[in-house]
Amino acid sequence: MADVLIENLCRKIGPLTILRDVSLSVGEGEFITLLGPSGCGKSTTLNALAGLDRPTSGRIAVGGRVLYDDKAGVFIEPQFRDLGMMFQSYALWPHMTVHQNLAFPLEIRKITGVAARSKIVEALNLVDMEKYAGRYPGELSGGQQQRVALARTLVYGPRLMLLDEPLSNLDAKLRDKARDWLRDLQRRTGVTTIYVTHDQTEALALSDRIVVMESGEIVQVGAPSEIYKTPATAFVADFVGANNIFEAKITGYSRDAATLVLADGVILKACVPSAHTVGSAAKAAIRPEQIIVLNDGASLQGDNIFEVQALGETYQGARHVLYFNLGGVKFSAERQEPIAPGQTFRVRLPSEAIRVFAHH
Amino acid sequence: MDELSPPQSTGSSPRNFSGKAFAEPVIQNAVMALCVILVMAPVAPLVLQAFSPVPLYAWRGGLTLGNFQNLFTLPEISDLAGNTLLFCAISITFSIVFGVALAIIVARTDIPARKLLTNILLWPIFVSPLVIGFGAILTYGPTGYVTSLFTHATGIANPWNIYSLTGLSLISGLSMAPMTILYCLSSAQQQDPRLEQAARVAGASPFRTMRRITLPMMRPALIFSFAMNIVAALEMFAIPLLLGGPSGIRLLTTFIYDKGFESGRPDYGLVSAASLILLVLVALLVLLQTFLLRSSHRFLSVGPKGGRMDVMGLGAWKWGVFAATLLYALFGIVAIVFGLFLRSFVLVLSPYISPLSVLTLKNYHDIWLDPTYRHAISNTVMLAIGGAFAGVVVTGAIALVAQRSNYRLRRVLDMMVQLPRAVPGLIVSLGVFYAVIFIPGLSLLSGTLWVLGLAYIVRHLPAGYGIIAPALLQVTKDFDRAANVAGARWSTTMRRIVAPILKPALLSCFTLLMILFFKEYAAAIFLYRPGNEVISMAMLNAWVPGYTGVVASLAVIQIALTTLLLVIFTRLFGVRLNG
Repeated sequence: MADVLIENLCRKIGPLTILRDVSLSVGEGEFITLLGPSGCGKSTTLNALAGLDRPTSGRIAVGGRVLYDDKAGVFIEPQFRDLGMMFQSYALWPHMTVHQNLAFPLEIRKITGVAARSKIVEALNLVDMEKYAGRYPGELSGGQQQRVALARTLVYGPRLMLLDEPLSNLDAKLRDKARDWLRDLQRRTGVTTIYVTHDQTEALALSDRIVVMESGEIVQVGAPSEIYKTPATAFVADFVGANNIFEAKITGYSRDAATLVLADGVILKACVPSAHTVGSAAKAAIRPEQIIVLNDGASLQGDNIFEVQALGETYQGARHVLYFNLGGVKFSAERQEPIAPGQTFRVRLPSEAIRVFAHH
Repeated sequence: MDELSPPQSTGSSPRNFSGKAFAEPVIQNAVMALCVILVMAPVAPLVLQAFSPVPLYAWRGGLTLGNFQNLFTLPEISDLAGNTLLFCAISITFSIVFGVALAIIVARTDIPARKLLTNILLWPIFVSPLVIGFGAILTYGPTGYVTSLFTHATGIANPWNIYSLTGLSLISGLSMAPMTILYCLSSAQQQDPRLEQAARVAGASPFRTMRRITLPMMRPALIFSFAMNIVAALEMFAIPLLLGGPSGIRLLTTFIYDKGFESGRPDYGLVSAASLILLVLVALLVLLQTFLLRSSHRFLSVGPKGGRMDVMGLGAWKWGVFAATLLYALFGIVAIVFGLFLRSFVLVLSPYISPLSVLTLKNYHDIWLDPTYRHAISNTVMLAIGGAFAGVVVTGAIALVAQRSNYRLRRVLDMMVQLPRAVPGLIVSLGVFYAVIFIPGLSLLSGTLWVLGLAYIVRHLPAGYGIIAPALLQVTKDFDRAANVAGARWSTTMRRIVAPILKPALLSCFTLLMILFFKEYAAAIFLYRPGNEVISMAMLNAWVPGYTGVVASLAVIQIALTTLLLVIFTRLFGVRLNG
């Protein structure tokens, strides 16, 4: 098991910068998720770790062993890195049985015969696939293939496991199951894991820590609850969980509270933990589930109370998502009961739930 | 599972070869060098000879343009250019008009027996133009059986003359048409039938739909077949030789052949200069075609996956179109093959004698008794099987390095391997012939099957690559990456992962090369010596003194063996040859 150290990693292709000064430290046995939209550089980071892509500059060390260092001119080829990687496509070799797929990496490490067989059985047991050792990948379902692929990355005991969107090829129901199972497996084996996904639900459920990336840069690193509750930027707030985002201007600022003015003159109070300048433009964000919605006429205490007309609703089974217009922005809130068309509501946007981000 | 001990100990002692595996560049450079040698061996000596004032074996430096001057001041040069141009025009027009029409008819209309007709129409692809030439003479020549029957029935003596420029151009067009059909067939089949249905619903007649929708949609295939037809026409050698030779009609290819074999001392410089012109012409066309196709492939409409092909109802025209297609198949293919078969089993073929009364196996017996012919047959089989095997190994290795490695010259390799497409078979033959003379040590190969194998592989390198490279593109690179991360180096990954996955494509490549090698004749022409004769050469040699029966029997044997191999490989190994 190993700790991973990435320092100032850069990757440029021609004039394009894919990675910009990415630095990250991963502890032993930790489950880290790189989260971000497509093109944010998360897969490039993973490929750089695996050695499938050569960065432009920076340094990567796993378990104290330097795998890449541009200054020292070190670049270890993937086959010598001793890492495990699971691909989005699983990349199970179609001409080999499950057993042969697992035996191949062992054979390269000169482990054959009884020793290899026991390791293969052990790895297949771990993923509950021991009955399928004689099958070819084409004879397995998507979920089974995913398990075999995981067993193949684990069978030779890699120092680090890299997972590239391993659940994206499964259907929604199976994905939920596989997610819990994957988390459980990682806890049992304790192998340091770096997981790449664009799905925030997966990231929140699986990770010890989440690394949110945007256009080749790390924007926030933190525990899932930290990322969800205190996003560092408007981008993170928007990407992780649903969020209503308002363009605003800061007109007043005192101690921990700020006064914001939205586009059509609506005034909003917010508790702001960090300093902002009066008069500057900002973004204000609030999660739909934190907005309190009551029928018109009901009594409602506190700040930021507005009377609004419902524009429409989406039924999502457990709840109804309502749409309103406030400050020139369509925003959403949740409640249990359905609405009548054109119904008017009283809504409250608790000032402690509003996060304010300065414009860059 | 209370004791959870994940298999983790193997990684604890990381294999500490921290450096590059150095065997890889050695292999990759070797493959590159091999490809360069294969591609350049026939071309480089030829180019040098074209600018050399003396034969290559006596060359001591010094270049000249004299060979080109000599060529262009030849009195017959204007005839040569005119003939070649006219020949190209007639043969290409024939091939395109009939090829495209037939492809659309068998792919898109509701005439009966479409599958059978398609197979018959495509079948000549497996037969060399040489065999078609012989068959055409036996069928439509002055004493051919169809000509005689026609004269017998109508009383018109000499109704046509295939020993003319028009005649030999039409027969060449006939031999080129299957290629056009092949290229247009898949394009016609892949079209989305809804586009045509939309036109029909909008009120267009079937023929208007074909003219305004079907044909324009096939434009990429049309451009491709047009270019390939020009290349084929410029390269066409056997039919002009057989039909143009007796009447003294010469094209660029037959001129090169005649000059190369001129009694006494052949003018190597002149021959090379003419060859270089042919080479440049073909190369320019291949380049143009690549360029045109690059900009047009994006509007290829790929049909609905697995969707049912809808055919176009021809209504009242159905039986007329069917009859026309049938007539073409009968007179353009079946009659010619039947002529060869008939002639191989009789002593003489004449309308005045019933074939049944002169039925014999003597022709086959003659072949059996003559060691030269026996040799030719066994040589051809050996060359086809052994050569195709070597060809697959070479093309496979080149494809893996060009497409699946981080070798720094892989793009160059990818282009290099496709260059021989621009080199006509006759020129490959001449070039290898010069190489054998010029490159020390190679003379050992002279007159052996090895030198033929070399020429055949060079000639068909792009064809083999054309099967393996696209198949390789379909195999996801994740397979390689997964093996790489799991600890396998490049050569192990190629050998254990990619090559086995590629097995079906390698088998297809082998089958294609085998068939191409079986029917090849042009690449052998300057390299033939007693001892390394192949069926094609034996046929040409037997034709000159007029052993027609033997020629017909050899042709039948060649056809039978090709068919046999084809059946074995398509049925037994499930090889599919699409194009």
